[in-house]
Amino acid sequence: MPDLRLELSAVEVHHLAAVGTIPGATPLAAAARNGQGAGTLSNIGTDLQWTAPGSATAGTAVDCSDGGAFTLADGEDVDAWLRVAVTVASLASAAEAWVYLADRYNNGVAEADVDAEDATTGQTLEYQLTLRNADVGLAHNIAVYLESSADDRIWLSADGATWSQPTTAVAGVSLGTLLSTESATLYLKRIVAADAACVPSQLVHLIVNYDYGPSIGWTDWIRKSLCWYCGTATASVPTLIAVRLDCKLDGRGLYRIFNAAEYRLYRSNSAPPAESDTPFATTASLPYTPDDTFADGTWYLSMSYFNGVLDSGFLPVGPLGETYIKIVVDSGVIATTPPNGPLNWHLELLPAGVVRVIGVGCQSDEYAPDEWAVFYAVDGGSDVEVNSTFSQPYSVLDSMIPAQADAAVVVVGVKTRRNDGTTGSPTWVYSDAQATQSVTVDAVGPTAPAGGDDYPGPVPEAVEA
Amino acid sequence: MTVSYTVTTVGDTTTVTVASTLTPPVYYFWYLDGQYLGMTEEATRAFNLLAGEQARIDVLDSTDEDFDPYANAPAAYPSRKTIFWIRSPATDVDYYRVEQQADGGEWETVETIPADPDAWSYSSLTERLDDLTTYAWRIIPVDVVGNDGTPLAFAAELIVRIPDAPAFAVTIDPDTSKITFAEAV
Repeated sequence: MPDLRLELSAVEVHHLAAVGTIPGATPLAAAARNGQGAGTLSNIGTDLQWTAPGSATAGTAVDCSDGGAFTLADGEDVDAWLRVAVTVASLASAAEAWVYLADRYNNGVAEADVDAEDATTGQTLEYQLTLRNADVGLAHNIAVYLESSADDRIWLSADGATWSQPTTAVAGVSLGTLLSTESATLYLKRIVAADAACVPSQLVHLIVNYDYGPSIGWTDWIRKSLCWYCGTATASVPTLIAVRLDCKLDGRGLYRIFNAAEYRLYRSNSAPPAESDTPFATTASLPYTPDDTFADGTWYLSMSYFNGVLDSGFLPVGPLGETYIKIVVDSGVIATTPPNGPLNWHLELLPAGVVRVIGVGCQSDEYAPDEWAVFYAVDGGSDVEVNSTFSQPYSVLDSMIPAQADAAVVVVGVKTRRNDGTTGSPTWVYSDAQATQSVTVDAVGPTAPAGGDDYPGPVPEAVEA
Repeated sequence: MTVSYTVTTVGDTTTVTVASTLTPPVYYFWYLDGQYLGMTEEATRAFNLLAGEQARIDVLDSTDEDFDPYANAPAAYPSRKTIFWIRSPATDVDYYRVEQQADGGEWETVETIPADPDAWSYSSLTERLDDLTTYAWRIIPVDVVGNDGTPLAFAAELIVRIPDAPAFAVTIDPDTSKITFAEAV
């Protein structure tokens, strides 16, 4: 059967990592045409079958009773195959397993990653692959082209001199005919323009299109094929059943384009920065002082790290998962750092119109709060503040809002506060506001039962009429 | 579309709960560092993450039972690798030693797995690997006497994953009103 192989330094290119198998089968290679995903390998006795990722049809069962290496084709695409080595004695009577396939980086189809310096200056890299016919049959009309959505930085050539970027078999780079064991060189060129943007994962995807037939002269093959199709084939026509047109061999691999690694600094004086914002400064190392000044007011600051291809995003640096540091600048200094707000809190309705506020907080550093501050407003009235001691490092808030009239709506907010002044002349710094909660007061018990009467002694048991 | 989420961590278990705007039944497809982990019909899933470990969790919600989680997966930059091998044909293997090398340094044993006569294949999941570090692995079968057998070597590979986000602190110079960013101690 057709067996063209892409090789690098006389070793078959490893297009896809393959993990998982059934007992008795050792995966040797997975055709790049499988693509990524999970395929299914199964056996009943010594018959093995392969179903490629995304395929709904298992391939024809292959008798592996002799042991050794076998190529198992998928039922929808015979060029999506899995090659396995079979140890017959270890095969279960019946088994099925997922085989997980994943693309590989820098495997020869895709050359080495582009470093940041080359991405800045631009890079042109020429490399070669060998296409070898590992079957006894003949591979003819070999044309190599690029998968249409693949990397437009890749160019192909049959001679290393004339380059093109074909995306169809008709326009493909012709490598002619390969008899059994013969090979041809495929030249590839990767052109990365100057100031190329980072690419964390770039797929190079080649497709080799060819016809396959027995190892006889092409003219003779056509003639005998016609005889076979016309039903006049004779016993002198060997292995014509193996003739197949438009065979496909894919090649695929990944590479990266790095840019310079950097810390990315974000700031905003209106709201916490978003990871999609543009950083106001970048730096290769820390500590770093940007040239930008910070006017008086409230600032939100965030930072991420970019490793050249991927950004870390923001680390939750606050106790409630805040991805920013908030500062208030006053006359050129960081005026206040507010204490952490409550970690959690909720309201409970108690009898007679009392509302209970339960919360918990935690902080023990120099910015820790001294008190809880509960704010409540009744039926849209003014806020009333109630304070209680915040015991460091952990504090439980248990505060009662005085009894309110039935059906009154009580809106409650909870903060903490720190005294940056003195006991006699306090300067309170409050934690950031959190969402308020509200309850409708229930101060009145249920209405009386609808009716009732009394009866002397126990009621008699039911008496039949 | 998933519009909100909560994260709860107790010990090494991090539980993520999401809220979807789709009409039930909804299928949730979970990814850790871009690697597909599985589907749930509940809007919550637990992950085993060590203290201080950063990870990126993605969840895709769909009402399509046949939604393809691989074709629609976010870009995968996993911080762990699965090392997979077929058993040695030798009959005297006592255990397999999994060794790891970082940036060409010393080989370190990261796991030992007892040989199981009924097992055809084995796998080992690495710890979280360092970003921008080249790792190699090898599997060494060891017999009951303690003799090392012939290793199965895996080609060295540069790990490029989503980097850890930095913890940082700031100070301001009152003379210049400029702020210095530094790594938090």
